[in-house]
Amino acid sequence: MNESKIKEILSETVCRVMEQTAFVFPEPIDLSDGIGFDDYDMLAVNLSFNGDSEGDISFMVPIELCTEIAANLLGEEDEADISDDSCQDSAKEMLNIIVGQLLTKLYGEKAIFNLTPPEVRPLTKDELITEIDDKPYACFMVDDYPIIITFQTKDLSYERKSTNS
Amino acid sequence: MAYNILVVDDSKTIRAMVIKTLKMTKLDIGEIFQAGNGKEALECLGGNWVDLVLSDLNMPEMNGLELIEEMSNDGLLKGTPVIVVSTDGSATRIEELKSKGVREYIRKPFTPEAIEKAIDRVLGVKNE
Repeated sequence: MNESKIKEILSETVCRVMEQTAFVFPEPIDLSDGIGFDDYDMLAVNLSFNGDSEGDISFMVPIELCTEIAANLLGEEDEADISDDSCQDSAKEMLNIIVGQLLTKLYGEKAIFNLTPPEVRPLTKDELITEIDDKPYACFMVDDYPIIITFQTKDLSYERKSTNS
Repeated sequence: MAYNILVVDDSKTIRAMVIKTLKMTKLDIGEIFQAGNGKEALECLGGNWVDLVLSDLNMPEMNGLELIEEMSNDGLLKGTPVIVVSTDGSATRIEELKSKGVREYIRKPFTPEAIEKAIDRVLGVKNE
């Protein structure tokens, strides 16, 4: 499977899961459209997987959007009631669900994977640039908030090396 | 008859979502217990009457599969039905779980209807 096909499946999966789970509606965009990240305090959630393939995935999202997602997941009308803990927990669970759906789409229903627990951390703009510098990614807007997902597997790395050599 | 239910997931958010969903069903629910991993679930099961366990798989300390194995080796707990609620969609994994006695498998993201139907099938009740 080539990188563009993986990105297409990644985009479809992110949109579907976020719509069904958190009732938000991501729209795929191109980073070259000049999306800025300076106005946002961002979180990054990372997890790794191994089994029929191995790799890692990162979900980078503004804290304000995480709060909205947590409120939607928990059915809280007032986002002021959402704690930092709930905000981070919701971002982790969102990534967990995306990865579960994505791996089945990419590798089929018989493939078995083990996932590491998601880890969350604050993300600076420099770190964000480093994250997307050498990894396939998909970028979306949700309301006025940008989100980015990077996804890297051994298979895809091999394909990139082959293409470059 | 009111059913006592144990919800096992390391995510507080998912536990809250499952509990909210349970309360939306017409099932006659007694107490709802919560645990953050398999070990906490076994402690809860040791001290409380539980009619049904809803458990995640991927959890720290003791995962869902280990919990199910511990329950199946315990004379008092092996009859307690378990429904797995997980992000894992592997048919191979689901077959493995069913061979270990798991009664139903619900994949995240779940709908309230999926949870209600699975509980209906496991407990043999109609929520009318």
